[in-house]
Amino acid sequence: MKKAIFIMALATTFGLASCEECHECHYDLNGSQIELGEYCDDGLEEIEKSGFTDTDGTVYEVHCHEH
Amino acid sequence: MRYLLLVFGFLFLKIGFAQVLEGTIVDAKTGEPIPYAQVYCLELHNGTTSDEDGFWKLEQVLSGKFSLQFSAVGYESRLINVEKTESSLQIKLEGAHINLDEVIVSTSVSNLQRFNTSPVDARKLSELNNIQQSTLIEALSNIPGVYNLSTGNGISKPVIRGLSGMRVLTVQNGLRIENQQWGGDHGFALNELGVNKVEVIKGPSSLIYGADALGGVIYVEDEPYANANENVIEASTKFESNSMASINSLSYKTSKNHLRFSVHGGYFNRADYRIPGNKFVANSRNSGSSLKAAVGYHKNNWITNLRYQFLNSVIGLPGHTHDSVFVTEDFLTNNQRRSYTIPSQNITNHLALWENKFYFNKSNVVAQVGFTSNRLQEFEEKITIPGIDMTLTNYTYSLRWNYQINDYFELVAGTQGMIQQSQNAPAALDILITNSSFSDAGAYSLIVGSYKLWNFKAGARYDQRTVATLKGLDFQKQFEGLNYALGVARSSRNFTGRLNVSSGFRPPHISEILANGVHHGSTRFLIGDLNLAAERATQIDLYLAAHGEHLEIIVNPFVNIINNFIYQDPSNQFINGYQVFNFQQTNAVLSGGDIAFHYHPHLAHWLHLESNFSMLQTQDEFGNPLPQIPQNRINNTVKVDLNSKNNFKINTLSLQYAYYFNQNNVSAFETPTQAFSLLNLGVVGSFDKTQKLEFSFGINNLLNESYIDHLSRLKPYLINNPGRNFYLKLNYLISKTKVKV
Repeated sequence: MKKAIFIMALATTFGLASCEECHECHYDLNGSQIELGEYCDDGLEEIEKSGFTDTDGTVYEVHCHEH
Repeated sequence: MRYLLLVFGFLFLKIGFAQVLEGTIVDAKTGEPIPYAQVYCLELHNGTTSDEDGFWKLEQVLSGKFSLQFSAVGYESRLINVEKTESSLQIKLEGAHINLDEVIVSTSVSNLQRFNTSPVDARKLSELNNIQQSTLIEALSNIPGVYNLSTGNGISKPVIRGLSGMRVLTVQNGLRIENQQWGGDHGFALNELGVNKVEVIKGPSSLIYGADALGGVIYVEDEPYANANENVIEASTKFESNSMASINSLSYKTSKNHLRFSVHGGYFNRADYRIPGNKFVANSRNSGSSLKAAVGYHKNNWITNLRYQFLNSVIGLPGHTHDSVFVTEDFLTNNQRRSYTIPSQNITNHLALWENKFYFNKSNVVAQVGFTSNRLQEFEEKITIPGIDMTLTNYTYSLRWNYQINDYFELVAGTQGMIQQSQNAPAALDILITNSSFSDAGAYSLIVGSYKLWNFKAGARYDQRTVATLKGLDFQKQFEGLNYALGVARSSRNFTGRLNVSSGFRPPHISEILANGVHHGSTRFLIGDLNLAAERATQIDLYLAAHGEHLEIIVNPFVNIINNFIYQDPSNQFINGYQVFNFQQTNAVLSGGDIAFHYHPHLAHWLHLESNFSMLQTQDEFGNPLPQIPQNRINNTVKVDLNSKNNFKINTLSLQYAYYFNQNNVSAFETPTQAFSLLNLGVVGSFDKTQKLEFSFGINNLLNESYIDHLSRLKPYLINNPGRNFYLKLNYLISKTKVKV
């Protein structure tokens, strides 16, 4: 019984463990990709939602996948 | 409330008494005891095993009438109705070289398959997996008339006699599973975790299951609880070379006196799958986890079961493009990857069922309430912001009363209903279908009879469905269905004949009524129709089987006539580069059947030769074939039963040759599919005499055939199905102990 509880606990721990999600992001400018580096979790969500704002105020749509 | 209390008070009005039942199981011819035979109580979902002297004993049995199934290797199964007055039973089992008879539970009255009056095929998962398949639906595709509509190896949908999606109902232990199956790329919700048996009802089944059961029903039954007063812990792991897949599970089951409990946990992970030529299909990877738990309790004549399952999967979408011009190479890669990327689906299901059953001398009552939730997120352009984010919640209820009128006839009456809501998350970029709801209510009654070798069934049902939008568009419509089923079967030792006529109906789904946009999964611009009527089907099914001692031959033709069949009609119009398809209706006829034989030579009892041929023809009212109709198929299996006495023991060795014929009868926007053949090999055995460590290994697509199934949704991109796949599965019985009582 103890063995069963131990195995279940181990499986649950591994099953519920979450990992940090990070991706390389870029935006397209004049047919080429401008790399922005790696963004993770909330930062990733924010850059995908709001886009990248250049120094002149231009907002570019950001892609964070190899698609 | 007072009424409710009265009803429940009446239901519990049974006085308990010593509830012990025991007996022996012997060979009908020789009278010799049969050791290690299974004794299984259908109502309690557990049982016991006979000892070396064929003796068995069940304690704490029900105080009403209940059913016991007796089965043993090499014998015909028997199903016995036990009265509460009985305390001792001697069971005689007839020897049989061929025994494919399972108990059918999906058709309102439990019976062995050969006495059933409906077109049902029941298979144990272990039997289907003599040669392991990658998914549950692939395993089910070994059943004649059942096929797999796939998108890579991550998404599978069952096809029964040419019908799929909203026309096929999935039911698990009595709970109707709803998972937005209207989408071609919305796969089957369940996996193999904790599954014991699957029953496939082929054809309309609205009498028992109501709306949408037009093409058939996939009824999934969970593994039984542990045998009476036992603890069982098991683990399994499986590796597949083609997609470098790892599929693992762990289970714990216990049973003590009146209480039973089981829990199963599972995890799987697949990388991109390999096609012949050493290329991989990009983003065909998928992973997921699931947890299934059940608790059962019985006291006197009352049984309750509470079941819950959680499933989560992340599925890569291969063959994804927004370009109208593409080449197959765009979808292939030289490197097999496992890491998450988009486009992908993230699917979460919660399934819950609470069941209460009351057994009396002449009747029983089964009440079920259920809940399912399916959240489907599709990430297309953004990693963190879903393109589609839809949640479908479904509440169901069901009440059934079975009453034994006399020795020959049983009356069944029941009511079912559900309330369903489909909602889009506010953050979703695309709205595929508007927020909507529908409610179902239905009532049915049927008579089931049995006289000597004859079995009968006749019944009728009325249903009502209301479909409505939640806000925005103002749409509401009501659909009604009046359905029936008639069946007669005669089964003797050497012959089984069955004739069944049944009807079904399917109101149009909201996605067919209100569609007005691009569905990226199908790369079509779909336009719905507010005036769509409900589909109505009538099927005539004839089953003839001759059973010899060593040979069984089955012929099973059918014709299914569907009025108002809804389909997507391609137009010449394009919107934003996507071809426009309008939802239209036509009358359709699907006809075909299965021919099967099973030969078991007298001189070689260890050898089984099984063959089945499934064919299907379809046409609409203009004589055109319907879309997505499977290829005709012949499936041959040579199975060798080995009874080795060594520590390393091989139980069965199976070699399967499946030939899929050309599919030239295609609809207007499909292309023909070339014939192909597949050779599969599987070995099942154990490493020690106690069978604590069982293994299963084999090869799928042994000859590395390069092929595209007609039902592959990757066919338009000319992406092959998986190439050769080696697999190894290990099952380990960690512990099996008696519980102190």
